[in-house]
Amino acid sequence: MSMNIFTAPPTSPQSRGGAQARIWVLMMLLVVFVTISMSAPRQTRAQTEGTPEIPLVVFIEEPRNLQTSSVTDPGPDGSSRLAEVFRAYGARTQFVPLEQAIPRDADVIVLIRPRRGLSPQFLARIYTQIENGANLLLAIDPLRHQTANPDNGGSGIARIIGADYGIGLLDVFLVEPYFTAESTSDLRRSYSQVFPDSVGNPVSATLQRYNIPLQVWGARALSVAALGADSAAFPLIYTDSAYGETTLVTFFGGEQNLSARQGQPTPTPIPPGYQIDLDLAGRLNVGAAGVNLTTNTRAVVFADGEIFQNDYGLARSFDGRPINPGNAILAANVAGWLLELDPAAYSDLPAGFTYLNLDGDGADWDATIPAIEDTIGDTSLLGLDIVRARAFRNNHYLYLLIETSALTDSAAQLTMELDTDADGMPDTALTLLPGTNAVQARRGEVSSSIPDAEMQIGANGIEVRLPIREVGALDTIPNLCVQSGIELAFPPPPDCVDFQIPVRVLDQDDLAPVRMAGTMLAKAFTVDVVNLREGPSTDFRRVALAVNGDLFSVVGRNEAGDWLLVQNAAVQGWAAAQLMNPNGDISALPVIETP
Amino acid sequence: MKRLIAAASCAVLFMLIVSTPRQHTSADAALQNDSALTGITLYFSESNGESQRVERGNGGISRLAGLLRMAGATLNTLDWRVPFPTDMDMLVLPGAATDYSGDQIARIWAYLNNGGRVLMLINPPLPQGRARGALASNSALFVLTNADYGLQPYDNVMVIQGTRTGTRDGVQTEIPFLRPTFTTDTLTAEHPISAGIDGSFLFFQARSFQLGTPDNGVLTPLIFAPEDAYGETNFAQYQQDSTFNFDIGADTASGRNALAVAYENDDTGARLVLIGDREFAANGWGFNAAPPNSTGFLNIANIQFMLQSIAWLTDTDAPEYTFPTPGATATATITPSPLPPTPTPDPNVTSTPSAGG
Repeated sequence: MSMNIFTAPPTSPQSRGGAQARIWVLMMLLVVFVTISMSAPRQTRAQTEGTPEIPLVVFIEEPRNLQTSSVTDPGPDGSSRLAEVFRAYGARTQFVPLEQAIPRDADVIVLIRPRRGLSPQFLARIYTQIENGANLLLAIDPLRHQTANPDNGGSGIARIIGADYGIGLLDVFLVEPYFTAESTSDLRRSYSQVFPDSVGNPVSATLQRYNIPLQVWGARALSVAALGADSAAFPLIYTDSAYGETTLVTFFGGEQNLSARQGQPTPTPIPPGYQIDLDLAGRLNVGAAGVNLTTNTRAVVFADGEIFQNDYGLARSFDGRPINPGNAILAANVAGWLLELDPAAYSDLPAGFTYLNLDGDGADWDATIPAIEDTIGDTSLLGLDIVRARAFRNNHYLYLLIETSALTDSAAQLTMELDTDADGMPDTALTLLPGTNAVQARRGEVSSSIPDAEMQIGANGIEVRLPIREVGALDTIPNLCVQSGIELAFPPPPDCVDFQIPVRVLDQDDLAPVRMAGTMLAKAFTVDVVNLREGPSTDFRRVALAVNGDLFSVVGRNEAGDWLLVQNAAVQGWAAAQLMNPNGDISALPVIETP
Repeated sequence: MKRLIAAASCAVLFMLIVSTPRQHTSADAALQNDSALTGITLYFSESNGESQRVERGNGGISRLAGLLRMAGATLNTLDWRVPFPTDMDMLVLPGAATDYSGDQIARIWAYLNNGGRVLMLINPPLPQGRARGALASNSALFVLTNADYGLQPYDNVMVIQGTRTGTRDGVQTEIPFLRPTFTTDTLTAEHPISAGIDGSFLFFQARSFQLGTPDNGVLTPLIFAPEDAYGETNFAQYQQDSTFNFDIGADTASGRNALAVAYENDDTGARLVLIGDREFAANGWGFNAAPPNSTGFLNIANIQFMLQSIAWLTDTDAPEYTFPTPGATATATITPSPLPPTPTPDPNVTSTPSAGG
């Protein structure tokens, strides 16, 4: 006896006659046709029929639970300027607490600087819309820096972005050589420069083209897996001057506090410093982008929460120009990429800056900059034969373009004589070789290198960038010659420009007033202006002014340590230490003899 | 015109469905199945101590898996290290013994709310015994189900209070005890999952669910505990010293307490079936058979409920099986409470298992 649990219809394979089979085929064809004609593709995000979709960008607003940067906050810690970047593309922005579901039509989810770890339910809210097709922007701080306790490398969100996008959160703090516990304990002194990675991608292409550094305020590092089972990631920005400190508890002094709370004897703290068996070194990624090839969603992760905050990465000067143009450009490109726009539609570059790709090609030069024509054929080596020369300077650098009549000799060497003090007599001789850190200046008997100068040789030209600090605010270049850098038994004579080269003056800022990696930096910190003087006291003549946020490289200090010798591409001078925010220990700086 | 074509095609489709004979392939002399789940791919989680589909012991769910396989379903084990596979038609979470991590919950929730289908069995969170370590009501997953679906399990064990004759202090007396194993036949007959099920469901140590009003979608209780059962929140203590007391404000009052629920949201396509007893579908419990390892299942209602749940979750017809009558020697001598110190058999539970047929 058997129990027939469900009422099964009689089974009779023989009942399928030939006629029924034919009907079956016809019916199936009809059904397939109707199904196809009526079915719409699965809409992963809300779309309004008949009207173009306006992308929705959702900012996670959890100031209480996660202490996130708030998009509704126009103050220094807010993200309102980042929202403006998205809106510039026509996107809608909305803030959403995670106590409720994220709107299903969200195209981009933005989570800026969560200072606490995401609870599983919060993560679930976010991931639900990521799975639904939304892209993600995450800017997350290092553990313990500024008492933050965001997600670690083993957390849920770390596993998600690791598995889905190939981007891993590393539990390190990037320590610049000059960082100290004191400087890292102050967020405004924790900044450092990072640089665009050379891996080609649409997000950082602009930064790569103009070699624009960016600023971060205490960063962790990211692992970036270029090859994944169903993901591909690429690095965006990196540092190679910092190392990745792994003993964060000790570094930030938390272990002592913890032990004290537990009634344990205070252990001897390990002094900060690179430990070869623990810490990370080399090129460390600070930003990365990834694509999930299965869901076709995108994620951009930055290892610093302040990179796009209002008064940090997206700070502006009084005239509206971005103080950190690299951060501003990256924000625009990230937004465009996450909105899945064509790179050609990305926002225009900020106005007021000089955009020049130093590659030896003059195609990106302003055609109105006057050129001095030189006699052709006045040297036997056509690769060194100057055809014309042009020059301009902005507020920070002098740029030169020398075009040659044939393929420029890759070993070309430039020599220049400059009248830096405008007394009508050349006083400085420069010798320039291709590449960076290869420019030598000679003043009298004293030779020195100019680390932030650069010369690049292209197919038919040579481009040079020289800091105004070294060459002065020139109106003309009296003498410029090109010759072979190869030592020959009978070297041909150099080809010199027949006339003085006029220098066009442009009221533009450079994209990087400080191009010296690995040096201690200092920012002007004032509500008014900071006077830069010839010497370390107010008795000395003022040589320049700095406004709040102006960035300098710190050269040294006076004996007392109350004055700092700072410089950027435009100026060098002494500034009162209390008006500067250095990102390191100034007592470690060399003492500079005062004039 | 488009509507006309659509209406005509629907009619044709209906005729086809009615006129087309189901395919049955004989896989076993005593067992027939159909191909209702052909093309359906199910993924089972095993990472958090769940019952395993390949486990043939009492705690496994190999018998459920076998029925699904015979119905044509493709069964896989879920790899949590990577995103959910795109071919997943349904996710089975058969009784996690440890809570899911943040990324796991995120993946479950994302899958579910983007049109996914989830069958989940959960035991009460007890420190020992079969159900040890199960998900507590404040697990993040249930915080989410509570917030969005109005659904959250209680941290209780549904029990029926009884008395037995015993000796206490040398005096024969009636001693109260708790019985966590019981049958119930109270169900919501209107739901596709529970419709047509005739017989009693067997529960072994179940928790009940708190039902609210979902933000969106429909929440339906499917099976109810017996009216006289209440939810003991300190069952662990009873396991230790046999003492208990109905704790007003903590314990769940008797009444219509849901033991299995279904949630669906037509907007998102999400469907969830939640059963408050992992052993409901376990080989040695809800899917017990006589003779052992045969298809003579003792608790047909449990099997029917599981199959119809899966059919509802996957939008398919329920597999139709013909099972043999359990063997004559297979009278279900279920020990009502394996827990010390009150192993008194319960007459309600030791009924002949064929009652379900």
